[in-house]
Amino acid sequence: MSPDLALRRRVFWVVLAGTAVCVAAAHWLEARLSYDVGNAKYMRHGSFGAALGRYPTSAVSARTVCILGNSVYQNHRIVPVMERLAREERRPVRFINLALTGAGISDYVVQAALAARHRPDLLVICLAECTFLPLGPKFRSDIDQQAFEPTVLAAVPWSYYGRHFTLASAGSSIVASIFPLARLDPVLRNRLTHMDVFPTMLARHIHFPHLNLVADFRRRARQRGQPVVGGNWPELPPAPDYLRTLDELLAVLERGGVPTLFLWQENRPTRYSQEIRAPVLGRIAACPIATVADFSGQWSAENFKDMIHPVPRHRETYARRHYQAICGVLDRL
Amino acid sequence: MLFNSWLFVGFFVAVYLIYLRVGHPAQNWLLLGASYFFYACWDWRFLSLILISTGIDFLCARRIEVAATARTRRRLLLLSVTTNLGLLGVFKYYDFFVSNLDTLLTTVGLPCPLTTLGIIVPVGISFYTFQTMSYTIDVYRGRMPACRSLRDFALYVAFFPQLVAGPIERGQRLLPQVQQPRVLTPDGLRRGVWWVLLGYFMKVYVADNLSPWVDLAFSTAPVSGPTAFIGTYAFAFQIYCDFAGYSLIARGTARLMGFDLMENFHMPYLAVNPSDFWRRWHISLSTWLRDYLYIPLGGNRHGPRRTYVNLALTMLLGGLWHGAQWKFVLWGAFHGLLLIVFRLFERSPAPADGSSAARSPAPRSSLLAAFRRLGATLGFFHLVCFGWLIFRCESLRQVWEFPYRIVTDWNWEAADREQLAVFGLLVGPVILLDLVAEWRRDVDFVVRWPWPVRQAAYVTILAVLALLGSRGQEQFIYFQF
Repeated sequence: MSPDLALRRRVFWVVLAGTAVCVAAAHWLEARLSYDVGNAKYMRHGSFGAALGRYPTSAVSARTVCILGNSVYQNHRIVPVMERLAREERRPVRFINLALTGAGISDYVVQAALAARHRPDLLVICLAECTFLPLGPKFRSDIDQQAFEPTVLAAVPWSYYGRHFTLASAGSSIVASIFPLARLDPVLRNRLTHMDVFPTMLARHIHFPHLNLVADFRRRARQRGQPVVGGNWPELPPAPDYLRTLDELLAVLERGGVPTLFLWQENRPTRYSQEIRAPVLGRIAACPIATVADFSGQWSAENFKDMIHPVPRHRETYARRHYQAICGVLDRL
Repeated sequence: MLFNSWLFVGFFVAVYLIYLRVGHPAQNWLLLGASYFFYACWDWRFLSLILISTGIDFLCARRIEVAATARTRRRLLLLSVTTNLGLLGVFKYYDFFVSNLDTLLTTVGLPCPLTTLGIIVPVGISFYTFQTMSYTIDVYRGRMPACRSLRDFALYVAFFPQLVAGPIERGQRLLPQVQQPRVLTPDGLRRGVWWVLLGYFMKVYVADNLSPWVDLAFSTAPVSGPTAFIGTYAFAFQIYCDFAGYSLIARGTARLMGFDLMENFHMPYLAVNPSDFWRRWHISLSTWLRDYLYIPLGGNRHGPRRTYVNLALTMLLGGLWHGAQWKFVLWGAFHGLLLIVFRLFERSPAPADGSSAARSPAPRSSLLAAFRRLGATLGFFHLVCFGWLIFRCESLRQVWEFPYRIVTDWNWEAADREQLAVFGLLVGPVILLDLVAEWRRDVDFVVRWPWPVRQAAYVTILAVLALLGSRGQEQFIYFQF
């Protein structure tokens, strides 16, 4: 055997073994970092770490409600209030909170496909005008890193992939599924910054991920002196393909056969509110397994600190309203 | 597909594993397919441009070789050059010239409705068109035979490590490596690993961490003195580490596969004069411009005045190569001016072959010469920084505003001093590496370190990348050119 061939073989086995070790270690790390999202738990890493929130596997006699939402459900302790209310009423309901900061209609398609495989009794999807606005990247969470996993591929229409992915972004997603460190990276780095490993001097001047994908995207655009996409929310028209994406979401839900409640959250009306709401509500109404609870008219300046986030004193009312809507649907099932 | 993405890491590992297991012809097919996939990840539609450029140049070179008359050969060369420059003209410069012509005509009172195409510049078009053109010209000049295999030639044009941002290789160097079976050597692998690691260090740790500072400095108005100061130096090191980092990753990945791509950067900020700088900065472009533009224009063979004109023209076109904007032309003009002034005052001209003697004009033993060299290096570095202001500015006003603010507003607050310290932590290792490499006259001195020391250095770099490397996945600056 020539020296070149021998060296090539050796390098091949070294690279192969190294890759296998790295891939196995990354999967092990992801499994170690993952956590159960039942029992008033929430997704811990803002827009990131979507693969870490593990759907509870333990069997319970209660009915399961899986919630796909945005920062309101992730960060404003709505679900713990709901659980308390359920306990007070002795209603056997278990809530699984999969809400991610910034989640939009495109994120919901993949999330719905992933959630449907666990067959919850009810899937709740939170909507607001901002769900349909082009506020930056197509995906506003890292759920796109799971879009090429077999469950999702089997449930989501190809048209969705055609519009939402390029060759490069599809490749990135596939790489992240094979080598999960790619999608864990921002989460790990964020953890490090919170462990005070770095001198404050470095932490102040080197950019570490903030775990809010849309906010980071917009901040970077401002730094570059570029126009910020979706700079002024209330004036922004919806994304051009938002109805097609909604159709694809409904198709995923129908295929999964999971009853779904669309909760239109309390939100301040925008310039395009009517243009967005009418067709969306019409399409949902036409879907046999979907219902809508519309709370958009409940928004008031004194109870909300911005377009959708309630002030702390209003949380109880907010959660109770949503809880009642969910129970209403559960009772009818 | 950016080098600094997980996608590229996955892509390269997959390609490399297959590459190691197959024979030479299959390796070339594999690399060709991988290169087209790599490019298609940017925009698959622009693959057609690479295919056109490849097809035309392959056929023209074959015909040139067998053409019976000089006239036919010239026509074929003209076809090749016109096609390549035509692609560049339409996709890179058309909108620039049309909008300027429109402004001119409107100014002189002859408004004429001219429509721009609004095309995004295809990634890497300036690099691969220059590479293919040089091949046809070399065949025309009889310096190399035409390539007989379309597969090999297509791989020469599209070889993925250097496809989108160089180094701009020559047919005489790269084609034989494509055509002959590559041999892996332990030394080659060691160098490849080191270049890849150093490249990532320069790109992800230095350049990408500096990028937000630079963007902020150049988009702030009015800028403060400290911000202008840090912004100016930060951009000088951002562009160096960004481009040199890319080149090193390209060379390193190619080296791991047995290819030897040319050196593109040789400690450029240690240059002592303009001529020295252009032997160290973007070497593949500067030598291309020398061989295919400056020398054919007459070089320095027709007296000083003609030499200055040739220098100015070469640098103006070199500036325009970087992008369809007046600031790049101005940057080229600035460097042209520096070269002319240097030639005017030059006592003993440096050897034209870029030998080491030219790179270090001062003998190391003499203390005075060392000080003189230090002064020349620092002085010229600041001229280069002024050039970078022209290159990076959002408006020409900034070119004067930045130095003015640096001189007049020397009010450093605690946050500014802290940022300066972080700047030192970012660029310090690169400066140190360059100084040691220059002093030892060995750019790859780390490769010769004992095994444990070398591994410790690699682990340190990996740790720095993991902990402090930017995850912004910033584009490489030179991709837009």
